[in-house]
Amino acid sequence: MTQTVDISGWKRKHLALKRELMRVLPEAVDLATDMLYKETAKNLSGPHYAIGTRGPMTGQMPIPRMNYLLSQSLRRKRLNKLISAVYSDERVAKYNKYVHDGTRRTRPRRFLYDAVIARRPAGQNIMRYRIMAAIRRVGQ
Amino acid sequence: MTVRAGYIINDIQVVLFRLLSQYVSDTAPWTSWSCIMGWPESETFEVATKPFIYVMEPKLADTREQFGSGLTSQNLWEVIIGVWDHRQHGGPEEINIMCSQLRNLFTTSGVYTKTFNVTLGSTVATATTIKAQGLRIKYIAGPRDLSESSDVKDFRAEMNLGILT
Repeated sequence: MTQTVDISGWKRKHLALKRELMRVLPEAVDLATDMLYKETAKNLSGPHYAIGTRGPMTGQMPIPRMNYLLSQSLRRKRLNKLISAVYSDERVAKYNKYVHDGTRRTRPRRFLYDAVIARRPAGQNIMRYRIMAAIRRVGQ
Repeated sequence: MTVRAGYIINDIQVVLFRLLSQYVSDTAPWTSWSCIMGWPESETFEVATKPFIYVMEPKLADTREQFGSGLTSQNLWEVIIGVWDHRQHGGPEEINIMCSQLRNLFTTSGVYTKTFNVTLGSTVATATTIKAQGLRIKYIAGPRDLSESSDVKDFRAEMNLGILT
């Protein structure tokens, strides 16, 4: 005895969901990246201080600025449809890693890491709501 | 007794520091290293004779709410645990061993049974565990090699530890 199960409806819905996700997710990635970029820029927008003087707020955010190179080095780049990066360009501010990760003489000021920690829940929520909305749309 | 809600940032850091301090005091190969709480200030490099592990302050990474029999919430904290070989000789081998040991520690069940003493506020807990203190390990990520951003012949890496309370 054979029993035939028709899964064409499920297949159709699966494909429709895939298409819908590929439509909405790049937009969600853009939104999350934009949020992360703005948060990082905020961390790099501390008060100006003169060359040769000791910077205020050691080890705290926002990072005080002397020559503005670090804040100018902030970049965002789309790597593919679903992956986007926010980074500090080493060609603009070669010292970015010393500021971010600290050295023997300076405390770290993790302008990128702190932004990720601060914005991760919001970014995940953007993704979650978009995905759920896509599933609901396809299910209708 | 568990970590106190009103002092949770400091309490998580202290509990992890005490746990790692216990390892560096009684377990090989951890005895070749030392452990410090917070960022190593410049004097640390003058007095420390062994490579060291540093435990940074936790940061709140996420809050998870669960509806069921009443509303409960869990907080996900992320702690940076760094290792630094500042002895200005040798290579990255020691750092790699330290990272491997840390990774192994936080991915096996032994971390929940290791006992240590800790003082939180005015309460002293003896032979306690991180489980008894209300901490659960969620993940350990890394290591991220930071030797490039350190002095020449300094070797350094950081790992991110996810903790649920």
